Amino acid sequence: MLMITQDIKGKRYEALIDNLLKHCTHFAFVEDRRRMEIEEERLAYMDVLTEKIRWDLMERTIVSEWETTRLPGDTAYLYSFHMNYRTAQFLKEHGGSLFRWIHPELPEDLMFYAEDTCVLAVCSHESFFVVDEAMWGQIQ
Amino acid sequence: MKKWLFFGFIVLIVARVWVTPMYTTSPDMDDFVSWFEETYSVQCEDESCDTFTLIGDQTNTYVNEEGYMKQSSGFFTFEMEVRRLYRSVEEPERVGTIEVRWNQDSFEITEETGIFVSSP
Repeated sequence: MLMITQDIKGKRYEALIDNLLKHCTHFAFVEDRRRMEIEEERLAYMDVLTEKIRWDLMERTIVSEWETTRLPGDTAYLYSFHMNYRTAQFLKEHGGSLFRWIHPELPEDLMFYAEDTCVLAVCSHESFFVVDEAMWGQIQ
Repeated sequence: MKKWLFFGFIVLIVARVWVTPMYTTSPDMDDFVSWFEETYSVQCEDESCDTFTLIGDQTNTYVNEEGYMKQSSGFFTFEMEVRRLYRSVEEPERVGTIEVRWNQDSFEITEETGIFVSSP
């Protein structure tokens, strides 16, 4: 995996999502519980935000570790969705760049998977992402 | 006389209770650096570990680019928080952050990202 600290924005971001749509089976993002003032309200906000793709939700789990981050004493909600045309549109309509997926407007840390293999994972608040080298070659 | 003895005794106990946590459980930079080296298998290059190399991978030198260390002490408590963002000099894309706090008698990781989670 390569580590990149430059954001992917605008048309490049949309092209990246299109490319990931071709290769990925699902994607995920997280909601850090440490940043939730009132958890019920934040989860309700997330339900509204993801209303258009609610049927694509695979699962919502509580984790303390994901691809780019580990929270030994805390937890976050991990939302996983099927990757398809509808969810790709959702990703394009929100954020507009990899690093703009950040609290409080949006959930954080987009992660894309081809079956069980992670091909791209963002750490939004630290402004970097890791990406599969072959995938990065196709995107460039 | 008894009254003064009793008063002195109370003062001693209070002083003892107050001073003990400060001198026995409050960490300093040396403690943090020792803990950091042991936890992440790194070799610090200076006293405050602003620069380190990974043991077994000497190709990258990581430098502390930003962060903070907060210390505060209460009557019975001592708090310390450290945050650091390390970036490789040779490969600036390689970054990692750690956030650590002192919890009574040991350091506790609150968040780690990038190179501290996995070495890409």
